[in-house]
Amino acid sequence: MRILSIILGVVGSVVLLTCLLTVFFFPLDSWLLWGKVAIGLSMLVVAIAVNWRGVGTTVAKRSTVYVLITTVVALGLLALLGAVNYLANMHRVEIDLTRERIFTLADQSQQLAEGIDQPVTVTAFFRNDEPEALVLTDLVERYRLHSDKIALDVVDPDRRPELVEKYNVKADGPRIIVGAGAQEARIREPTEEALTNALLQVTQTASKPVYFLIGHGESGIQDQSESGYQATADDLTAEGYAVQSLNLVDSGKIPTDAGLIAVPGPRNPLLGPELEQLASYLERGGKLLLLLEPDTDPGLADFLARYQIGYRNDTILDASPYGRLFGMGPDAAIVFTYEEHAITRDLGNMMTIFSGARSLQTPVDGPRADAAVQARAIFSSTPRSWGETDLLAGNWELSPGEAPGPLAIAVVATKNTSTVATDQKLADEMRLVVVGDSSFGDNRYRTLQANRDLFLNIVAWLTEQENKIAIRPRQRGASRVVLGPDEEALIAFVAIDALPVTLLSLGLGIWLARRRR
Amino acid sequence: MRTLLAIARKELKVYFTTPTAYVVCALFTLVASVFFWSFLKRFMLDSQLFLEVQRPELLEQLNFNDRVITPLYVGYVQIIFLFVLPLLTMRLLAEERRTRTVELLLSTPVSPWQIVGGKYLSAVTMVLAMTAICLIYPLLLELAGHGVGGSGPLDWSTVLLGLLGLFLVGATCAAVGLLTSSITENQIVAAVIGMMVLLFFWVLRGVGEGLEGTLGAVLTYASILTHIESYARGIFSLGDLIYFASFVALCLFLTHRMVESMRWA
Amino acid sequence: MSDRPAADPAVSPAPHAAAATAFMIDVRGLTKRYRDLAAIEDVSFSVAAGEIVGFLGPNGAGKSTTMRILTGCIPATAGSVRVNGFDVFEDPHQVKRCIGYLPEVPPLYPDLTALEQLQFVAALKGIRGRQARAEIDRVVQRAAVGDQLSRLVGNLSKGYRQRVGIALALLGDPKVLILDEPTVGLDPKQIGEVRGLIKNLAGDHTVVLSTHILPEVTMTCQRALIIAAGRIVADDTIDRLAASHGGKSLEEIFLSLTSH
Repeated sequence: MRILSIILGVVGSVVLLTCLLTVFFFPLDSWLLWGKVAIGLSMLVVAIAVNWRGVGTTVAKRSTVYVLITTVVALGLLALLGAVNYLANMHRVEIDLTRERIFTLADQSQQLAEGIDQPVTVTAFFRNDEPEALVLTDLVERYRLHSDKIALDVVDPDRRPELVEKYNVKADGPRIIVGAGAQEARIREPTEEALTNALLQVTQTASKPVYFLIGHGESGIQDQSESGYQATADDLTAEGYAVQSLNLVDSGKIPTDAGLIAVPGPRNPLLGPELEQLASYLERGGKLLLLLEPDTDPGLADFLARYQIGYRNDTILDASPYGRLFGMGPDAAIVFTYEEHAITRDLGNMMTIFSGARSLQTPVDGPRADAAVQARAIFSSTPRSWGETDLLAGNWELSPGEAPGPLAIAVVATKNTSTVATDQKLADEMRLVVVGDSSFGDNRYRTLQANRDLFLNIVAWLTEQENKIAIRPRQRGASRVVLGPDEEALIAFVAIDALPVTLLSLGLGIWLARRRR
Repeated sequence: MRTLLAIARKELKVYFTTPTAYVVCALFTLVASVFFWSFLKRFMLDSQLFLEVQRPELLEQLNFNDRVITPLYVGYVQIIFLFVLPLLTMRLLAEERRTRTVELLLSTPVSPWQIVGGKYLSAVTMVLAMTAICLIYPLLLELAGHGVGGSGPLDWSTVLLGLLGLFLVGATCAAVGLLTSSITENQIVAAVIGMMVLLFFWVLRGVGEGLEGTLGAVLTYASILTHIESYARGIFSLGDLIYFASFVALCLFLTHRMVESMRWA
Repeated sequence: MSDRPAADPAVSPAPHAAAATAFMIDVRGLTKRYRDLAAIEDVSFSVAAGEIVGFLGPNGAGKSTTMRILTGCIPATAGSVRVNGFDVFEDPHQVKRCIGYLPEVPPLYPDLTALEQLQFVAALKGIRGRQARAEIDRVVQRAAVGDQLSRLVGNLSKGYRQRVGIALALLGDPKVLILDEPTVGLDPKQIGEVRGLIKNLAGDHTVVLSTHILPEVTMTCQRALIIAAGRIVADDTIDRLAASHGGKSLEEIFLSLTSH
């Protein structure tokens, strides 16, 4: 009988205690849960009834008292620690101590988050095992440090097909939807820049489209090859720009809604009618971005002369050693000082890199020059560079007839167009940016140093959206290691051999010496 | 306090004059060094490859913190701690009970808190020593490599925070090891149970993530694995500190009750 | 049966406790059961200050169990123990401060040297600095282990280990010494020395020593407690025991009392 009582008592206690776990599986009103409680309780009652005298002596024993006290105090401590942890998890205190502050939001994002005055919902369609879900959660958590208006809802598309349907989410399309009121923006990558600009987009008004000219061998916005502009186009989309291709020969005229025409690296000359369209577009206050490449003939010399800009038929070579840091040759022009301008203002001393650039000139006086235009260079190559005119000859040094550095790489030109007739006028100011290189925005080189910032800043300035924000993704400073075979062997020796062996022999030595005592 | 320190000092004397701790530490460093070397080798191969194929944008993302130190600390050293620390702590109380030297502690005016505290302090000192050994890897990198753009090759605040994280995980493993050492006279049993318990809290995250709702969230939170990454990545997280402190406090409380129970039952 | 004035005010008995019992050790109705097996059953006895009492009984009679309860190493199932006026269970700290205990197996760490072992225990007993050095010198001399101090305890012979164990018990000059078979493992010369040592403790110290060697009791103790199968079967001075059993030798008395 005693044995029966003990077994029933122990099993009953276990059944009762595990009810605390059962709560997680069934709702509080489930008959399963209360059935389990009833079974546990009745086992205990039977156990006590069967061995009433035994129970009396057990309860009186010190050890029983001890176990009871310990259990109660342990549960109390567990509850207390649980509460403290819960509070700490609700009010997270996290301090980013990395050198480059890679886990901290940029000032612009912080300000934006603080200024949000309506509820914003970020709905993301990721499965649990997709890394983006964690990255996004982390990221949104950082915004929530500055705003309580932002809510995040990560949806598993496999479990909630009806939501996938409702939001019309595609597996290969953007899967993060930022919504505020009726406004909605979709982003592909869970990055700070994309999210900040999406937030900007849904809490502010939309902007005009950016057209990329095609038909002359330009880099295409769907081109995923190294020289393509697909990634940059995605960037712009993420920033809230509508991005489209434009075949001016086909369409015959520039769309009326154009916010900006970009011409990224034409290999062949633009045709006369096209140039006329562009010129008239500019005269009415249009915006144009021309990205030229060396060893091509874009046929723009006459066109640009009107804006006091010229280009040489050369390639900038740079004798300074910086290019080698990035594994690049002398044809990479490195820039780290900039003239004061809205485009370059937040670049600071960050480097921009132009692989194969042709040099520009401004101001160029000529019969065609329009005196109302103001043109100036915003940055140039280093003093140790020059414009090599014959790359193939291999004689890579400044020769007679070649232009010595510093050579202008980027030029801006503006003209007041406020006097144009109202029905013709697009804007009060014409803006033109010419860069002697298109590769700094292509898939391959855009992520180098501040290249991407520069490109986004140019587009923002041209579209008169200086408040658009380019946020350079913060990353750790790169490290390099170049070891000779001897040094390599030395490090391996110290780590794998010397260190453990020293510890082992130290221990054996001390022990052997001591055990004789 | 002095009694506590005397107990800690005695345990450390045993640790440092017998070969067990040295052998364990030597094995620990051997394994950690092999992983370190493979990460460094991989780093060098990657940078050479990116140079050759002229992928400067990839080259620029290579850094010692993300490619060597963090994966070494988070991926390997902490796992080694899981297995090594129960081996170091298994003797602390189990051996006293087996050789009945515990009668010395019980018959002198020493409180259970002093016993538990002294033993734990010695274990934590060993964790500190092992963490300090892990400092050699970033030091080697600092000597061997160089940074781009004027700064050093390593972000030392991240490295030091990573070491703090290692220490916290080690201190937690030591607390579990001390607890399991108090429940049995058999050291091997104590070590094996300690590893099982730690392994359980390691894999708990996987279980928690597979479940939805509160239970999943609670299990995920309870897992040690959930809390080891912040420090190694360079974020000081008060919440993770509280988690580890709570874990240690609970283990030490239970150990205290086990020691105290010798007087009661 | 005189209650001696306490040497150390910190460990002097509480006044009311001293009034209630004049004994240094007072054991009442002590019982220890392991599940259904009783190791000792209703053991009661008391020891006056300065007395040396021999605890006598065959192996497994409950001598060690009683001593471990006396020192607070294990709890009793029932009954109470007061040492120097303090209850072992309620006030263990005070009791432990006035007890020196030599367990059945000397509690030694084989990886420490004898000196380190002594220093460690001195620290556990709260003896610090210069005082600790003097105290270690004193017990080392009394236990005659001076020539083995720098040796590892694990390398010591059984006799020396026993003597280091005695030295540990003597550390801090406790009022009460509980010695569980203190002469086991010693050679005859050493046994003589230890017995002399214990005799010298009389007066200043209260000593309870257990043994199953009869002559030891006759030689060192004033009083004998004979325990068999967990119960006290005799408690008297040696002379009176002999008288009440018709002048039989202690050995004969012991055999008659403990045989069933």
